[in-house]
Amino acid sequence: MAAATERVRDHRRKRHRVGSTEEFPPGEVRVRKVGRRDVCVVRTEDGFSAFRDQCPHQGAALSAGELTGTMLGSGPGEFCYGLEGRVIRCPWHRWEFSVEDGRSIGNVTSKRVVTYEVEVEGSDVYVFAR
Amino acid sequence: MSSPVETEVGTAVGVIDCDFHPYIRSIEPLLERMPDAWARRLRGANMDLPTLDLEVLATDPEAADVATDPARAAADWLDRHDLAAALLVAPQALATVGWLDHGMCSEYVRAFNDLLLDEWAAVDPRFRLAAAVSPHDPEAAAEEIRRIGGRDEVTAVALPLIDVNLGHRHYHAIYEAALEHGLPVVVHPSRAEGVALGAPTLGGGVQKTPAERLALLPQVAAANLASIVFDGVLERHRELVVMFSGFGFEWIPAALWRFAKEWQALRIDVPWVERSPGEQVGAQIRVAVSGRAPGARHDEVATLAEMIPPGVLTYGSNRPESLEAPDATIASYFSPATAEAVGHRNGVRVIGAAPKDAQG
Repeated sequence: MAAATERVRDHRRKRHRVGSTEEFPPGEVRVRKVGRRDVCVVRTEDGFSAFRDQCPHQGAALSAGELTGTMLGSGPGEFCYGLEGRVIRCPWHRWEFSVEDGRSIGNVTSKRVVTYEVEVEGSDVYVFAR
Repeated sequence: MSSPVETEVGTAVGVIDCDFHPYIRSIEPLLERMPDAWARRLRGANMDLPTLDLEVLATDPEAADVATDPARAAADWLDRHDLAAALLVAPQALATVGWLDHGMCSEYVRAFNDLLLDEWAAVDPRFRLAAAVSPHDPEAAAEEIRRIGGRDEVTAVALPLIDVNLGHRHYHAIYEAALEHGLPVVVHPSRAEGVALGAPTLGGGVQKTPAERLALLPQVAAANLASIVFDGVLERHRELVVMFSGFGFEWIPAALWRFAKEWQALRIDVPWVERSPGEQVGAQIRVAVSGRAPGARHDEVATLAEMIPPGVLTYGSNRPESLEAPDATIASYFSPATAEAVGHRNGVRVIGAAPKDAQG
């Protein structure tokens, strides 16, 4: 049943060109209109990620927050920094989310940021969304 | 009169009292149990036993007898209310908080523990000891836990609070020793809070009266709970149980709401906190519930209790500071379904298997 649902979703998604690769310098968030939504596009070490410009907590524009790394899980009293450029921190309440899968960093909430599949063809960047 | 509580399957089990206070009337039995040199030093300091000025002990001879005579306590408290067990938390043994001679603190609590084992736990197996330790010398405290922590009668560690919150590495040795014997750590006001050098301070500024200090005691518990949650003590030691007795419980929902909010926003400051504060507290914290607050409506208090994770609240009489019967306390706060957890199940971790349970 889940697979059928997924197929329906896939079928209804469209490919939207959001710019050329040089418009997305590493470490910066660019907002593009995809349909009626504002979508953030970022370039990480591994490629491109796209996510909705809306925090699932109280709706803040994530593009006004910080694209950053974060403190990883560690032993008490120890600090270990990582995930540089892969974390978006909400400007309102500092909740952090992975730009890649939208999950909360540290599981402080079960809410997720909506993410979108990205494809690069030549120098063109595409986002898949309904 | 008896106070069994109903389990989910309808069988009555005895209430577990996780906060019963035995007192001693004279310092002599302690001196007899101390090394001669330390006994001479203590006698030479002309010390009197602390907290014997407790009003109820001075004005209610019957309550004083129950607090100081184990046979009377067994008959008039355990038997009379059909209690399964009572954890002995001796306020006089917690009085080391303001003492400056830390060697004396360790000798004093050691003698006190021996006295309670000899004169209370030996009288009735329903008496379980929260072994007192000195908060000033963690290594000595750990040594004391290892000395007697393996005895069946010892089911908890009683740790009075100082001005170093419980999350600090100062206490690691104590937690590790407690865990070696599977003992929960019980913290209880020592009456030094806000007045003695080295005792926990209360918020805002210096309080002028005992009324102010006692009214604000929950601040001390909240501060220490925040400390062990955010400093990662409960993450480091997932088997550790810490019980707060004598601080009330009304502060917990508000504290947990704030803890959750700040953890969500400031997780990067405490990346080792992997479980939400509420999850940690629900699994590893106990809070003793004693007599009713005057003026609090039953339904309001019951609603408040329902806001607290289900494993947390545990009955602790706080006798003789409170003389309310277990029936009255438990029935006034909880629904029959919850009463079994509070009156018995949640306390099992604190006193070990009750004699009646062990007999099957």
